[in-house]
Amino acid sequence: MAGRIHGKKGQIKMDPAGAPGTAATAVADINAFTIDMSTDTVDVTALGDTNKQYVQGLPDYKGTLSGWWNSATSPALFEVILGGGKPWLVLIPDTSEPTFLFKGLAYLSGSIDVSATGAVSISGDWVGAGNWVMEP
Amino acid sequence: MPPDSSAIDEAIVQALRADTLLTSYMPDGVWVDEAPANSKRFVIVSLVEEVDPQGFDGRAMEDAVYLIKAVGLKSTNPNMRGAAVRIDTALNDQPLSVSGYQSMVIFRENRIRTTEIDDIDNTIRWYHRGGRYRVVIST
Repeated sequence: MAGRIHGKKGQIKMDPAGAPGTAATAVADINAFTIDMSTDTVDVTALGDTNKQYVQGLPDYKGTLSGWWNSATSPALFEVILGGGKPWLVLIPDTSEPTFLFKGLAYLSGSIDVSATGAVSISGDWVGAGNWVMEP
Repeated sequence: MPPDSSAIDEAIVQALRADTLLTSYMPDGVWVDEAPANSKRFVIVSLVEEVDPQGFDGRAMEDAVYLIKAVGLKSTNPNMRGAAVRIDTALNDQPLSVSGYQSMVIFRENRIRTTEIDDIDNTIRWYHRGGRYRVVIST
């Protein structure tokens, strides 16, 4: 089923205990996530070079998540955020192809946006708290 | 299977029909989009716009704006002011229970007050009064 895909079947799974494996369950009411894998570069340009040159460092693993506040599900997410632990995250671009994913330990932070003219939404950031991998 | 969105329309209509003062002011009834022929004092509910905010787990909510107004023929001396008050009382910030849905908010975003001159007989006047109501309901 290779091809370009829509994001409506994305998914974030989480195990608050931080255990790699199958214990991670879907986080409800999420509507977006991002993964930033930008890589550090260091300028090593020398006299005589005809253009700037760089050497590459490690890729980052961090990103954002967002969704809708739901009193049935969101408090559990914020308990993890406020708990300060390192949950195990699995980020899946399309659950129709669930073997294509990114996973690892993370630190989470979050916020809630409440407006008199709109739905209550939640958002947050995550950063890698261990070595992340992309599968397959 | 997603819930039946038409149940939201129906809940609004039923809430208005349940208001006995409103139906006394507008005895020709509460209708979606158009009233029966020869109606002279009635309430119209029309869906103006609607969007479905999404989540990864499907449709997260439905966000709709309805035009809800009393319509009265001038010659029948309709109580337009009273009707508009009753529409607002019946709907604004009121809990509406809709099968298949969870929490809901409904509030007026702006009000409507116009006089329509009949295209053919310009001695005939129709009064319109009510408002645009936003309904946000989670699935």
